[in-house]
Amino acid sequence: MAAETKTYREALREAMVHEMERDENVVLMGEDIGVYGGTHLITDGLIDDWGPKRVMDTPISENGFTGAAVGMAMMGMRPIVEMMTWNFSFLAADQIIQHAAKLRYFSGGQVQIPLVIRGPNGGGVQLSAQHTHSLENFYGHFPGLKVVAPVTPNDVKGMMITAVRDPNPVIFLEAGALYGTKGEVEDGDNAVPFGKARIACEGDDVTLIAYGRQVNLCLRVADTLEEEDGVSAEVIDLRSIRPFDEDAIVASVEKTHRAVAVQEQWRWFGVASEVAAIIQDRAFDYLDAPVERVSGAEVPAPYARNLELAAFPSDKQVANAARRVLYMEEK
Amino acid sequence: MPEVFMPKMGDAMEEGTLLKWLVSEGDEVSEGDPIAEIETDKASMEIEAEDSGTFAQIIAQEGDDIPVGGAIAFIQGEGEEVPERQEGGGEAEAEEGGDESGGEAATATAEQDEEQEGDEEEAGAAEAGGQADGRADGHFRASPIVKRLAAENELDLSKVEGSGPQGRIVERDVRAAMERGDGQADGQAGEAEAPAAAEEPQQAPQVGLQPARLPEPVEGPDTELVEPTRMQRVIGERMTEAKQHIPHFYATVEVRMNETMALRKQLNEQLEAEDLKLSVNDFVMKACAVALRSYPNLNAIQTTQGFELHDKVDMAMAVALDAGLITPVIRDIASKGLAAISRESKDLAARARDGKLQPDEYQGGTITVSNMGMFGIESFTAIVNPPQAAIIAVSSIARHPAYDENDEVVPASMMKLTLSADHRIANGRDGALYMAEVKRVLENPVLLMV
Repeated sequence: MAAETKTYREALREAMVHEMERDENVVLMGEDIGVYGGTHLITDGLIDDWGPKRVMDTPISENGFTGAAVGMAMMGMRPIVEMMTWNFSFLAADQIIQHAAKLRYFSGGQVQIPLVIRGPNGGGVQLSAQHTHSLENFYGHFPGLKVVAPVTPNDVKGMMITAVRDPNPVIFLEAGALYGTKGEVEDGDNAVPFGKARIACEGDDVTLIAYGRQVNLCLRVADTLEEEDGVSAEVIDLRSIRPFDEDAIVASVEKTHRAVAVQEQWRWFGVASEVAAIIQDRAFDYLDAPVERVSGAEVPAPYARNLELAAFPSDKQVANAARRVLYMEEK
Repeated sequence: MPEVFMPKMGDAMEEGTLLKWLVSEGDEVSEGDPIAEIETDKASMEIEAEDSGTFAQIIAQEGDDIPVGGAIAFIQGEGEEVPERQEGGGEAEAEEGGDESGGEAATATAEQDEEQEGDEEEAGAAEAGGQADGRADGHFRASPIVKRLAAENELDLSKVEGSGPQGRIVERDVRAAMERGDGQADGQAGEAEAPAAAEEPQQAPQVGLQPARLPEPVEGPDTELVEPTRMQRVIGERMTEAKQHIPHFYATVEVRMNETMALRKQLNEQLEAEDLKLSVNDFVMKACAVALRSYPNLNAIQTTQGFELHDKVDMAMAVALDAGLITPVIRDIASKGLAAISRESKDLAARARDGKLQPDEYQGGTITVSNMGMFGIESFTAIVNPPQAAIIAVSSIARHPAYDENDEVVPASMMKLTLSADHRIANGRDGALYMAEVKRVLENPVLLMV
């Protein structure tokens, strides 16, 4: 398939347009996404092409417009709801968790909720405590929701296409700090299936498991380990949190015998803990060391740049975690 | 830091012995006070307190060998608590780390302390404890992959030393043990080993020795992937070990072989009726053995208790095989005549090539001779064949113009002999004098008669 270099933002917009062209039931909803073009310019210019019935500006009322979208989905439409940031989804949590996630179950499968809720997730751009959350474990906790967190421009397009076509509510967590990053994006329909991790970099000695922007951090660490320690690290990009690709991490750990799970969110009850549990459950006999977790610091996200950097996993922390599972000296 | 560490007193120092405590628990000490006498492999000296306070706890006992950077005592400053510790000062190795340079140990420790506050996880991992003995309570620690590998390869983990935290046996330990061929469960060891490895001595574990990263095979149509034979693997392992562990030195002499060649010709004419033909190698082996009488430390075996010098020369001779190499042994060769040596060496070489040697025929040599003269080699060096201390490389005889005592140019048959020897048992002078003696014998072959 032909490919072109695009930004994460362009790839995301392209996916939505691709699906709007394919299916007239696909509509966009959210605060300032139309006339203003979106706070992060994801939907910039779309209202001009598609008009206010397909690109709907909503009031500042997350619970209200998310509820409306759930109703629209029940009736067969395919809304894509933008959360200006995922932090505001707490206001809509009742609609997401109590309704979107459960209506199919309550109705014995008679009702489907083909709803996508998307927006920037995570921190790293100095938005301070209330605007810096990584919610993959929060939404990943509830049966009935699918949760994905693509990091490459190609995946954000391909997974958005898959999300729109999925008959279930999809929590689409974008790497907000990476909207401007570029990468090869396949033309046309490049639907990426959910529940399949991506091997971002192959290696033999230790597996680094991450998703979202921590994947890029792990790739840098893999280079460092190769250069400084002669260690060959495999980097796995989970990209789909629920469904979760257990087989990919198990296969990798069966090869490398060591694993480090990295997440931006806080350590307790996080995705990395789940990764560690799956590995000890399914690859116990292959482990040479306990699985290490590298997580954010146990504080509300600080505003100050130096403190924010200290609050998120660093290259050094991840490299040293890898060295620990290899029983090597930390640096 | 109120802990007192085994100091690094020289680049080569890895551990020191605590000879004597000069203070007792509970004494008040001031910075600079001598508190203990220690001994390294080079000297003994006093160490001084680097802090003032109560000499609260003795961690290392008199007579203990403590790795550099290992804690030996604790000086309690005002308001400080004496940390609880496991018996035996297990933290020692963790704090020492893999750092070779002095001073680093203390830095690493300081960092660890800082980290302990914020990050329980890291502190847990750093706690390490080079406590080699993970088996105090009758069972030992091993990672899951190690237990799996042990089961698959019939290894006895109680024979494998662990390098992980609290002596945990980790994958690299068991891989190293498998590479060395030890750690096998009873009934597996020995019999599975190929002939040449039978006399292998116990070696220090090679923990931390990682092979360089290798490329994947090309697997193109014009390439062939070859699996080494078991014998080749054993040769490879033993030679790698010998080259890495034995500090080799070399000494080459050039021998004028005219007299020996003349004697050989004369003898072979007489022996023709007996259907016996002495080879040059028979003379060389005999000469090497005779000359050893004055240099017993080249006729030595490295044992678990040190080097053992042998009076009798049991000479191993390298025999090339299609599939590798083997070294059958001519026992007490110095006391045997040339005819006996010749018959025995021919018989051993022939049976070696047929794979019909008994183990006692290739085990227990005290020195080795390797001859590549028949291939026209001008000179070469050989790798010492452990646990022996020396090997002699014999090259070809070539005719060269040489000067005689009247400075006239005359033809001479010249041959180079190169000694490779283990510097831990012999020094250059021993090697040089020995090779000069071999040369003297071969240049005056009547000496072979005495």
